[in-house]
Amino acid sequence: MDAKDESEYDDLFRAEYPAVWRAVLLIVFDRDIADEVCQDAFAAVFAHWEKVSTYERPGAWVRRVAIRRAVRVAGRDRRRQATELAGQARAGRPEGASRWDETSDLIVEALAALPPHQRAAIALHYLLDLPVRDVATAIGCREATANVHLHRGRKHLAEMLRPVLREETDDGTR
Amino acid sequence: MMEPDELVRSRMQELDLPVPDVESAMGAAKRRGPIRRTGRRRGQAVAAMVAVAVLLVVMLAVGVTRRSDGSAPVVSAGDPAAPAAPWQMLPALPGPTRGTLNAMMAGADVLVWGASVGATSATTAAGGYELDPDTDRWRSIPEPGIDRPVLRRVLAWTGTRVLLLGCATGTPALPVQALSYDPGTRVWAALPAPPLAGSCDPYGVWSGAELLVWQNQQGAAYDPIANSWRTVSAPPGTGRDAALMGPKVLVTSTESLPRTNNEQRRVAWVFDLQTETWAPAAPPPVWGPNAWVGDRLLVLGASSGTLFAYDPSTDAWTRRADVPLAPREGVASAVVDGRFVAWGGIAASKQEPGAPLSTDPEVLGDATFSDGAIYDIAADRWSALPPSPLSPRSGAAGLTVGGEVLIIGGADPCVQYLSDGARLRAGGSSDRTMAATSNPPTTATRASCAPPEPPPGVTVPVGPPATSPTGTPVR
Repeated sequence: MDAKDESEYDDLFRAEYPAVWRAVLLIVFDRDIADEVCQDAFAAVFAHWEKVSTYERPGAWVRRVAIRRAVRVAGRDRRRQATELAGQARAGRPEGASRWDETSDLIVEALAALPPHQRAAIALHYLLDLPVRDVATAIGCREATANVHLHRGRKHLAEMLRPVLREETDDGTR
Repeated sequence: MMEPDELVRSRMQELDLPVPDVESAMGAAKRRGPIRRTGRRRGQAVAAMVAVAVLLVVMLAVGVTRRSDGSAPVVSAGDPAAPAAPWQMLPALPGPTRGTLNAMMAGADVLVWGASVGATSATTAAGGYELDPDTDRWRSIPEPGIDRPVLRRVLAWTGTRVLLLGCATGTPALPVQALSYDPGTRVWAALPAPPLAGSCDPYGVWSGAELLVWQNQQGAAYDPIANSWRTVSAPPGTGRDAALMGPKVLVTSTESLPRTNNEQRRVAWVFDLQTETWAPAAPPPVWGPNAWVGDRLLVLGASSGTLFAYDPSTDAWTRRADVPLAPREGVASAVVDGRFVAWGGIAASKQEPGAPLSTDPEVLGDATFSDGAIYDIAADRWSALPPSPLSPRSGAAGLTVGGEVLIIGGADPCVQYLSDGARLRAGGSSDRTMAATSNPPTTATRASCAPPEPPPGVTVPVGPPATSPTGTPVR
């Protein structure tokens, strides 16, 4: 990889890593595993940069690799997570978080209760602002299926967050 | 006042999730390498690399530049002369290829399922494999048990589980079998029996929320959340195939024309998923590999070299640009980035029904192909695909993974099922590569198949193979 390629890779890393890491964290609910998944994904991009750099959207590629790995990791450990995730979510603010309130707890707890694919769909759509088509590509499913994941995840979130949402919707304020 | 949806979005985006230091993470990723291997795996990887290097040296030494059958040379991802090679070989399946494969995306992984069908459960074999497309590693799927669906298969991915439904053996008298497979836990489970009576002959689609199945003018829908079936209305005739078209389903079939010597005509109906009602539809001029592309259903008539588009809003079929391939059946197909890929196949048979079995290869149609074409849906234009490294074959499974098309399995001219496959970079930026490739000549291989010598004293039955090599859904 020459200096120009490396500079382009660095730009991609700085632009994508924070958002990808946050989305992955909300799927795997473990900072170490999120680090691991993102490191794997970005290392793969670095190793294949000659090929990946020719893609129209290299950022979409690394998102896809990272999210799929995260879903796979979360899915394989689903039984453990079903019991542990909620506990982790209730354990309070993440290390280093200064702006953390009860609503943050509620959101994380609601996400923890979702199956990994719904969690991924919600994180990609709401956190990364991806349209449904890109959510489907990242997760590796059809658009209709991604819509189902989003619909179910959103329904569950809405139920969990009902008190907060009602209050904020009624007031029109935060 | 903000909508609840917007509130969820804003609160999600405001979640305080401190990200690790980006510069340190970047340095670590660069030092890391793509796949971390340890211990035995690292030793295996080194041994494999040495073996590949030796093989390459030997190939170069003997001047191997083309395959012995005249098809294109294999181009690997590491070939410096072709960094954007459109085709790359996939590793072979880790076990036997049991007949024609169904392939689907199951979450992040590719799942293939195949079966060789006997008259009884004891002589029927079925099995499948999962491929991690990020690492190109296959693994076998555990055996589901004796009563697994092997014929007339309907597969669906619910988002968390694979649903597999079909007939248990070549004997259609048995009821429909329905199973689910969880790739996360690698566990199979029997589903409740669908309320479908009569001979096993199901067809269906996944609606996005339910598995819709019809058989013998009965219909049922399986809800994976409730783990239960409900009855749905059936088409007015006996359907054979179903294709999802957004909020509607097109069901097609054939029926005998009255007062003729069993002449057939195509028929079709449209099922509205919202109202769950049926309406007659214009019959398809051709039937074969199909794909819903957002506003119309493309149907490839590979045996006639035609492509048609069905618009459910007008109930009209429109002929699109003709396929620049020799007439054939058993074509692998997939849609990627607004384009429809068709590859491989076997020459269409010209054998007249009821006529003595011809020995003329031209009539039998036993030539198989390794060429293909790609159709730009918006421009209504076909282009030839670059020469493929795969041997000629029919009935390969085709599916889309990101911007790539995977072609897996299939049968050679002697109806031997193949375990290799390849990925085709057909999406996005690979346009440049595709456009730079001149049209390849048609690559056809004629069968020259001697049957294996039977053991002494064994009589070999004469008849067609139990499974179709043509790549149409196993029926």
